[in-house]
Amino acid sequence: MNSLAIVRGDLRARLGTRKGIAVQAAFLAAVWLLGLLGTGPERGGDSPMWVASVGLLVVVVYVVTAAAGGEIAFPGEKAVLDLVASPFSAAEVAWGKALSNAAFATVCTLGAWPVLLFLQALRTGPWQESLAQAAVLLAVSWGFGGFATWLGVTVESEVSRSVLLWGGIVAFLAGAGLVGSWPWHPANAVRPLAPGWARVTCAASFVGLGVLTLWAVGRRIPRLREGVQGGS
Amino acid sequence: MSPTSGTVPTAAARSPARTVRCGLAALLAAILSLLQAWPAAGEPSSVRAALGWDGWVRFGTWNPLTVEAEVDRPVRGWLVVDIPQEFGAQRVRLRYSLDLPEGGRAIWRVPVLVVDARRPVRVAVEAEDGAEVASAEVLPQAESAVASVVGYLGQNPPSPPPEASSGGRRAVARLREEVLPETAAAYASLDLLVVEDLDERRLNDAQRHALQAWVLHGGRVVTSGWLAAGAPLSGWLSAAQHTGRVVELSSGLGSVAAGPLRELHPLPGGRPVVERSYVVAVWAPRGLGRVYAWAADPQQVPAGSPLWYLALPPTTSREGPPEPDVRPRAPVGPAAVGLGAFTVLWLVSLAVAARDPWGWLLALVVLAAGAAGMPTVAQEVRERSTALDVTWVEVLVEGARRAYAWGYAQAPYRGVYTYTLPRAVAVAASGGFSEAEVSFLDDRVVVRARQGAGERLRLYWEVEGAAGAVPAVQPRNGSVVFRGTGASQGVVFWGRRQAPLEKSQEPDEWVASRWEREDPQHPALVSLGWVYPAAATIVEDRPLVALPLADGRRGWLVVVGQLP
Repeated sequence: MNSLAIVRGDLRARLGTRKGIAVQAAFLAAVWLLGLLGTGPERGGDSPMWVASVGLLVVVVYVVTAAAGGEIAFPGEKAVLDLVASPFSAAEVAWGKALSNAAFATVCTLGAWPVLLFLQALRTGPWQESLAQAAVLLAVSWGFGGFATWLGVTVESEVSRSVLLWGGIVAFLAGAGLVGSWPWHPANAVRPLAPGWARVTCAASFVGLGVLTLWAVGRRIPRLREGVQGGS
Repeated sequence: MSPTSGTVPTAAARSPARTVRCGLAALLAAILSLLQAWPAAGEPSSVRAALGWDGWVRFGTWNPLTVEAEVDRPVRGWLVVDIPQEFGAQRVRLRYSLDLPEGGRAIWRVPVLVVDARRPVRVAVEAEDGAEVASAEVLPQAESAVASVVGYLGQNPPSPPPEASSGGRRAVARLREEVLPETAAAYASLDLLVVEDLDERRLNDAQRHALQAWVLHGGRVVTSGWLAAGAPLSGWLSAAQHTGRVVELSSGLGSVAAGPLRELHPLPGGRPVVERSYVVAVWAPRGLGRVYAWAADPQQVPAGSPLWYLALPPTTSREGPPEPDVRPRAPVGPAAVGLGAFTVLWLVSLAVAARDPWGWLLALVVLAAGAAGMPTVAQEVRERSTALDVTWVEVLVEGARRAYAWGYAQAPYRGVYTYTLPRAVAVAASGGFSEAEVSFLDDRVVVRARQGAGERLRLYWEVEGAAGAVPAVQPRNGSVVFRGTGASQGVVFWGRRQAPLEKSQEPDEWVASRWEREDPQHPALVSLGWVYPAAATIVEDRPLVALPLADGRRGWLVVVGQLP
């Protein structure tokens, strides 16, 4: 129940506050623009839908990761470091953050899914395809969210944390062209008509990353508490 | 026992046998009548189809297709004509609505564009649910492909030159009144119709009008023999009257072989063709077409006769307008509205949900509505992104209207696109598509084409019908008077000159009198040349009024005046 309290509190801060609404508005505006970009006619091999799909991935990953890592600070939201001093157990805090990341990633993905559905329908693609793309968005953003949460409790310096977080994400996503045509890379798996196994592999990898990093968060909290008690 | 009484037991003995025989006969008769009645009641549904002119086909243009369907149960659905193109890579399905009662029978005479000689044209009766009731296939043989077709109605086949002027083979097709097309478009593959005998009672109104419209728009008919006097179509097709006298030629002329030669008396407008003081033929203009009356039977006219060269039209091919540079548009408007509406509602629902857990229900409703509405928004965007770029040429000759239209569209995305055309009699699709379904409805034609991204579809269609208010074109004292509406931008062409139409004092009357040298590249003349390659010669001897089309269509209305 304490985990759910963390989820409720985070969602209220991320969606109900003025800043939360402003962030959502900016996020949805970006999604809307990407949807319009995706209506462009197909020319040669460069499909605007592919560009729009990758753009949606980047936008969703950015918002979810920034919220999870505290890069966008919502008023009233309790970060993991704040919860260290709470009476909640380490598992409850880890579970709470995992669920709140998942809920926020779901909300952001659901905001982008109708746009994917629209772009698929525009090209007479099956609606299930948009669901598969959305699943990739959800899994990748949740995985990166977990990574950002872990960085938040591991790296003390804000600058180092930001550099590590965004450097890592940009290098990973933008490096798709450098690493070759790995089908399970998120930038490839989110493409329309990507192979199903590649999407499953991609989603499973990022769910694994999320689980791993949030487990690490759970392991890190007792040490932080020891440090807090030792310090006091 | 008296002889009489002696016969009683015999008769009594015979009576049961007779009864049995009578009974057997009655039973046999009943079985026979049942057997006779059975096929009528249980006749399976069937479709029969005949393509071309007695089997001869001109590829690359309209050919007549006659389909006869008979059904054993009530059928409401479609007659489907499946035409393969591009070596089987493309299919065009023409669909004509049908509603037949049990045991019903119907005949369709439709024009089809045949371009693939190796694959059969498939004809089927389909119920509304898509279930096939009956089907048949017509395989146009490669040997039946010819460059020119001369059809004849009668007993004696004519002998035209065996080669068309273009160098291809010419076929002679024996026709019956029943197979004559119901649209002028289907005559496109027929060069000449030789009429030796015409029973107009076997023609319906549509066939009569189609034949007349074809001639008015450039078709050519030779009449030979005694056509029924007083019959309206026969009279209209006649260029001369037979006086009833026959001259027996003992030796042949250059144009006619030895044999009987009827004496012809040209009707008003008829121009005699004379050889050695014999009137061997008479010809008369009918709109842009011509009718000929021959004094001899068709078989008397040898292949090398000048009469054939006079009657047969020059072989020309239609070009059509140059393909416009159609670029697919990204219709941002409907997409912006549709996606924007969802975005705003989703944002509001999230803000509500953050304060009140019941707000998540609202968010779910918004999400469901957004998901359900996106295909509709997408369809709207698709429809707007593929507006046909259409060029029209509408030609009006003595009240017979034919409109020709070329439409181009490039698909921005892969998928099925719908194009709505006016009520056309013939539609052809070419260019980039894999399947095109053309549904002929009562008030319009709907084309649904499956296109790949970036593929350019080319549609060509023809509209036929009687003109509502027929404008008049009359030469008067060196000027040309036009009575009609909307002629402020009109131009008159006549005898290598052209003049703009100017309003006169009379209502709805326009006069062209300020003549200047004709511009052969005038858009109206160029447009007319797409449908009549001999447009330049048409305007030499008769006035022609060209008006830009109104009602938002791009193109020209050309009103052909009569020969002065």
